[in-house]
Amino acid sequence: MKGVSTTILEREGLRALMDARLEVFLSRAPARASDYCLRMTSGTTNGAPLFIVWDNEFTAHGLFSGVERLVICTGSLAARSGNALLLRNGRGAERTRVMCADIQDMTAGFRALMDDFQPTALYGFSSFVRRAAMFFSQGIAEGVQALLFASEPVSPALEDAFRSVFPNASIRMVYHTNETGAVSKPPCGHLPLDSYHLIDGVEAEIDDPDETGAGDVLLSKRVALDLYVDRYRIGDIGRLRRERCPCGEELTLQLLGRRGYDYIRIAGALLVQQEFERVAGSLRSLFDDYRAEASSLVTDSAVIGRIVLRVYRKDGVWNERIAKEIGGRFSECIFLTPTKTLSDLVQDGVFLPLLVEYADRPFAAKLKELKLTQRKD
Amino acid sequence: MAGLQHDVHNLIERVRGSAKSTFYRDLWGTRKSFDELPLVSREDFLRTPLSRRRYKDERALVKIVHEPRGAFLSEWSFADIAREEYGLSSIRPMVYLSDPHEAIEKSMWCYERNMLPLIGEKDPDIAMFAAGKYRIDSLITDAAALQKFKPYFESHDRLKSISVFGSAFDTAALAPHAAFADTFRLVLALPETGAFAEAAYSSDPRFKALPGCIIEREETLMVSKTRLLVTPVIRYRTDISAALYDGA
Repeated sequence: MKGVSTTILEREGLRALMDARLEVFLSRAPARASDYCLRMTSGTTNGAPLFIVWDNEFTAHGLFSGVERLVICTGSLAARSGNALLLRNGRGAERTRVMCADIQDMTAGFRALMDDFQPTALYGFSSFVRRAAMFFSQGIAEGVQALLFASEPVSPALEDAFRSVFPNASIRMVYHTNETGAVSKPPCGHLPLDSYHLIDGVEAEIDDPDETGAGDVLLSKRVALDLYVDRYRIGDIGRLRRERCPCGEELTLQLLGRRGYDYIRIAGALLVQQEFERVAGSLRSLFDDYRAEASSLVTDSAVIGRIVLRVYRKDGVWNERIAKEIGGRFSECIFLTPTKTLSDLVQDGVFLPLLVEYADRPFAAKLKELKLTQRKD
Repeated sequence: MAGLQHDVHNLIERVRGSAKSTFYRDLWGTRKSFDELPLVSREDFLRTPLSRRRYKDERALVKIVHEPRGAFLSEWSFADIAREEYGLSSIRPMVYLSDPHEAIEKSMWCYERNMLPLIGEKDPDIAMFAAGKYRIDSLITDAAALQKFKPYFESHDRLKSISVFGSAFDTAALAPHAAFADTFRLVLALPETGAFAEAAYSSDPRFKALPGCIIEREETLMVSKTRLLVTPVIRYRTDISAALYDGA
């Protein structure tokens, strides 16, 4: 059901809708609590987070069908609780067992616990799952039938790493967001990991596409019995392909990157467009424009973040000293977590040192004005 | 008490005859009566994988219990979580606990009691922001987490109830918080046993056993629960000082 609105719903408009819905919710207890869960988005853009009442009927993904023993590897407690609730509500196998792992559990002792639990599936952030994978003995890893991902992209390198550790596991991604819940159907098996078929009733448009067809993704879907979100700019860049998939679907949404309205998540850190702009603004004397490209590098034991900063100078002056100064000052100033800068994370071994490259001509306006993008190697 | 004895006797017979695990049967040998049964403790749970002390197969949550000697798994069926006396009834409960596994379990408990819970993220500022948005009316917490929440209490209405979980309580440190709720309740609990005793807050709290719980005292407390849990709790020796408990 496509909305008739021509207006694009921006984040602040969504906030107003969600807050209004919350007020209605606060006025009375729900008839069945397990139909709902409470979620909050990161408060990284425009101040406060969004506080959202999820209606599970409209937001739940279908990834857990048939899952017997699941380890959930997500960051927020609300996401863990919400996903555990799905299993409690019967969305897994009849006698499913679920464990909500925490990063503090990732110690040598986790291996024995996995030997005991014998998971058949893992769900969550790809970086967290990569970390947990270190602790799987070969036999236990061979028993894992599915790796289920959301929120962080899975690069081809990471996909290869997972296939080598979990040789019998299918890798399945779902596109869902904190604001809207599930957007895509469980994967059909014919698509690459960055592409999705939309759930029935969900519509996607591309706002002001460039010559490659890429632009801002606008989503329209019902998120609750009493709330239809119409043409919401979700913050992702993508393109739509209207061609018949072998599974029979006629439409595919390919995600290309994060607009930077909110964040890119790399190696557990949040890279925020606004933060890049802030730091770039403070270094105006050193460069006139920039593009930042984030990616992740997969090692035997971890996912390490990497940022390439390409800079343009109108005066055309460039040497190693300038590159070093930009790299040092940018790294020391930019916060990738609430308390840690890139320099801190380099020291912690979570990120590689910033790579600064020189652009010999002004940046063309490709992929809109996306100054911070995510590269999938 | 006769009812409890009858229930625990039935449990012992059921556990002894179980085809799913020999954990207790191997420990008990030929001993039959409750008082004769050897004690179990965390060491036994640490030593014995969950898969060998699982007495039933139901839809369940599995927690990781960390302690200085290592970690072990504790499995709780959703049906058993529902029967625990973790909190009190309210409309907008919040769970804010230091241990993430315990937090998820108590969140599930709220759902089992048909309450929509807010689960507090680790960062107290984020947790307090969410609490304000949701206008919580009760809190399930522990002493350490409760301390972090003080700024919230000082700027919001009194809650209906606060339930503080732990195995020991510094009542003097808790005293300032008692004013923040109509009911301020202390709950004796361990991740692997669930809750087994409760007390209204006072400077000298009087704990009483929760329904279905048998508490014995030597130097420390021993806990038994009359329900068949995934890993039954039968004469489980805790490290909780018996001086803490003088209830029936």
